[in-house]
Amino acid sequence: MNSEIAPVIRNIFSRVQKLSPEDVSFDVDLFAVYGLDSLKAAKLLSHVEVEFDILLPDDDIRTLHTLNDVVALVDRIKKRSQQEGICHV
Amino acid sequence: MSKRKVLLTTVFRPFSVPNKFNLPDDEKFLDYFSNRLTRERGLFVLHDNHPTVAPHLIACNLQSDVTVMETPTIIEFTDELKKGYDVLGISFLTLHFPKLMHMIALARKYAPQMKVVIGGFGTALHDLERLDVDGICHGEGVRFFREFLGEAVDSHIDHPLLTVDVRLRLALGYPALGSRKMGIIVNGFGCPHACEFCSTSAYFGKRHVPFVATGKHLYELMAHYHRMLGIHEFIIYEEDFFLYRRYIDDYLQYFRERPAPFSFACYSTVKALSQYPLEDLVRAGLSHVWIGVESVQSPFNKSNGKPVAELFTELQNHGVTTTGSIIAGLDHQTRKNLPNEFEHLASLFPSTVQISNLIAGPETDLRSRLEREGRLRPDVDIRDSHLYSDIVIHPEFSRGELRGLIFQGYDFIYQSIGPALYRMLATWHQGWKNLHISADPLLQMRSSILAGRVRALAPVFLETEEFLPNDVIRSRVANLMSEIERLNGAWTHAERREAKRISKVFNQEKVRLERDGPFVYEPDTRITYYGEGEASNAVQKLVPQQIPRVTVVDKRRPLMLF
Repeated sequence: MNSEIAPVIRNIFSRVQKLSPEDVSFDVDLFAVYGLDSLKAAKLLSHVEVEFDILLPDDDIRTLHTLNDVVALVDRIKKRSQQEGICHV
Repeated sequence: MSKRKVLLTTVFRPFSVPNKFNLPDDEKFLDYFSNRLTRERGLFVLHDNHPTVAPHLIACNLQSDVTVMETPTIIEFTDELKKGYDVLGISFLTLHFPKLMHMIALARKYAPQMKVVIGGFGTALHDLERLDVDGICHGEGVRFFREFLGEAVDSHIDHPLLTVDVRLRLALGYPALGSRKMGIIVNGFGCPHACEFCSTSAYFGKRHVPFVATGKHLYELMAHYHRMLGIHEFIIYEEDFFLYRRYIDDYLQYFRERPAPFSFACYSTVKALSQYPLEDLVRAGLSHVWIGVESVQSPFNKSNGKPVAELFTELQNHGVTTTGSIIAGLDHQTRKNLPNEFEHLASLFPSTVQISNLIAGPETDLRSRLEREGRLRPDVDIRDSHLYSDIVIHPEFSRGELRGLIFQGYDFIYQSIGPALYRMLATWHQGWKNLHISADPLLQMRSSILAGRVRALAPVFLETEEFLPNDVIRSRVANLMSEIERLNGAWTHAERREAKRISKVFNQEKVRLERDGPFVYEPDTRITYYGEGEASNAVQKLVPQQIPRVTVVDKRRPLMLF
């Protein structure tokens, strides 16, 4: 897991879910365990996109189940952006 | 206490790039004319650059220093956020919900202390409280913001000077072609007819919220536009302008005492228009009216009154252009009878048309009913929330079928009664023929205005016959042009020169279209400052437009002008 991205994601998620950061697990199902719904998911991902200055493709978003998935996706998109030298926003 | 700084903004552009925020063709929804009223093939399509009105109305009526941003880029919006605003208001439509989410996240990152308020028709969506915004402005915005900012709620109401330019769409590439500037007047919100499909009626609680208090105030507002900007043509926003009899009588009386060359376009219904002798309305400036025809068998109360065909004919005989709108997907419609709806609409010879899908917007009675009946598609993309969205399950039509039929309907109108611009010209000429022989001086004045419009528009059709849809329409246009020349005087050299110029542009555009395809329209960023704040905060590359506060409408006291 990317050690720069993960803490940021943890903080955003704890804010969105109104949880203490210590209570956030990266490997549990966001929808089943944390009760995330579509609105909260959209909110979470909007904050993630803004924080990392990226856009997460809708097709990839549909495959996300855990915060580990989110971290991996952000890592992948960031690397791709750097390689392509573009800002997605 | 120092003045609060408020930023009111629309959602960000671009709209023309399909991505997670936009569907293909989204930019078309910004263009009232080319996407809706003159949606047709060919080059006679119109275009307008309509401002987003509500933020201006609100800004004009706050004591705080307010910046209004329209269609900024994300970078421009982010730069503005960093300037230290106290309150941000974002106006959005349902289809722009993903953009709203992104903008809230940007605001929380770059201005964490700033209060964030959301408003606009998008707030009809459920559960927005969970977005963690500081306020949701649902309904009339001036009162909401005054309360939110702790300002005097009942102080007088001002109306900003807002304009829209209407031109040929192809003039986007040939700006020398010119345009018509109209003043925008927001007369009131909401509608008590409460048709079950109507989102605006539902949004304002099925009641009327007046904004310009009396007919006299309306006249004075027009006069103010005329004095300040030289404008005498107006679009009046009011769901059913002629419904409010006392208000209209007040306006008519005031106008009779002070005749002026004002013309206005408005929205009304068969029911409301049937209350008046049409000549009274024409004398006072009625020049265009949008009537929701809805269907041959309209099930709505607003359609009661004169037979609709009689009303349209009477309007045209007075030179009043019309928009006729119908809905496809009503319960009683079938594959078999839907073409009758298009034929009926064409038979009314409306100048412009709107054919929309049945939309069950949030909060409408229609949505509640269809939910109960299990007739809402569960898997509709929230971005697909507009006039042509296919969100209702109809037993007769398969998914996507109605949208296709609607576009066929538009094409049927174009092929059978010609381009909208031709229909306008024909209506103006018809009105001139009938009114110029009237002994009534106000009707004489209308006939002069109509004659001027005819002569200004006619050159568009003098040398462009090859661009008309078919031989039948070519013949009708040729007959009309001959009659105008015969009754109204031979074409002048200037008109013939103008016709040649237009013909040249049409031919250039034909070549350009084949090479490059249609124009993609992206609006500019517009920034307007209200109040006495630091206009120097302007983003340097943008040109701010300083609009002075003007007292135009006062709801409580006799008008204090200006």
